[in-house]
Amino acid sequence: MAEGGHAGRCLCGAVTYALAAEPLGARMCWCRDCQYIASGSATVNVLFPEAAFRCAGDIGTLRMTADSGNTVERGFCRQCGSQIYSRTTEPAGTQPIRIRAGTLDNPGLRAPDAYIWTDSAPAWAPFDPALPRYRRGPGSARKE
Amino acid sequence: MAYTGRCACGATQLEITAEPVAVRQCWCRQCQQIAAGGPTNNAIFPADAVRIEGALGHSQWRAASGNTLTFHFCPGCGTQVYGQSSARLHLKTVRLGMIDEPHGLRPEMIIWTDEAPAWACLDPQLEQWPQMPPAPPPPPAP
Repeated sequence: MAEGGHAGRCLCGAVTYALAAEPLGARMCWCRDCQYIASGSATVNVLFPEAAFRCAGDIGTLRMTADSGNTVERGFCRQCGSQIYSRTTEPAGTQPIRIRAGTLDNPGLRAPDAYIWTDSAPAWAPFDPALPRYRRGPGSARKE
Repeated sequence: MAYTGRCACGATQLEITAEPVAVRQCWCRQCQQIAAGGPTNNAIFPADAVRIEGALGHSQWRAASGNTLTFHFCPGCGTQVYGQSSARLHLKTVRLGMIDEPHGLRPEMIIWTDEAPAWACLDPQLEQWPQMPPAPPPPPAP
């Protein structure tokens, strides 16, 4: 691991990664697509500059059109299914890479600063009242 | 049919013909790894009421109880489909994200709160256990 950086791995260890940067932020996403891959939770995403991410191992990818309209690529371990990252491929270079907090060696590295896509959260979803809740993507209308 | 469902990419389909025995949320470290950082939310069904179409991948971990937990996922998108304990093969633990909405299911209990990150937001209304919950009741006699 690069000095001052961070590292992570999937549950089974077939995928490992390193991040040669500090987090830019973190947020929880309640879009329905995220609930599928998060076992019914929001995904918890720690944001990093994409160039700082190095990944090794048996990684599978799925490209899809997100609710934002952007094309995103999701990376996951082909041996255990653990979700590793999501990155925006169209428009490219506009968004930080989103690292799934559960695979960081320190999942407490960065507390989330916001909730996004709360319009699709289930009725039972718990929210920290101190954090902003964006009804759709980051910067969209807030739910008070 | 009680419930239907699918994974994120649609390659795995689910049909469930019973009501869950329990629905609960698990913050153990392994669940955070397979649930993109949050807890897994799990609806526990009689195993024979859960029918799955589509090829599944699987992996395992050894639980603190000594039981082996096998978890099954879609190899096309990594969506976790269900888990099963070697001690309770009569049950399948279906991941709530798989089930088509509206399904009306919600976690009733939170387990392994000891391993939740400091930032985790836990519903204070729900029953909470720092680690494993008490064992579920045994299956009915045949």
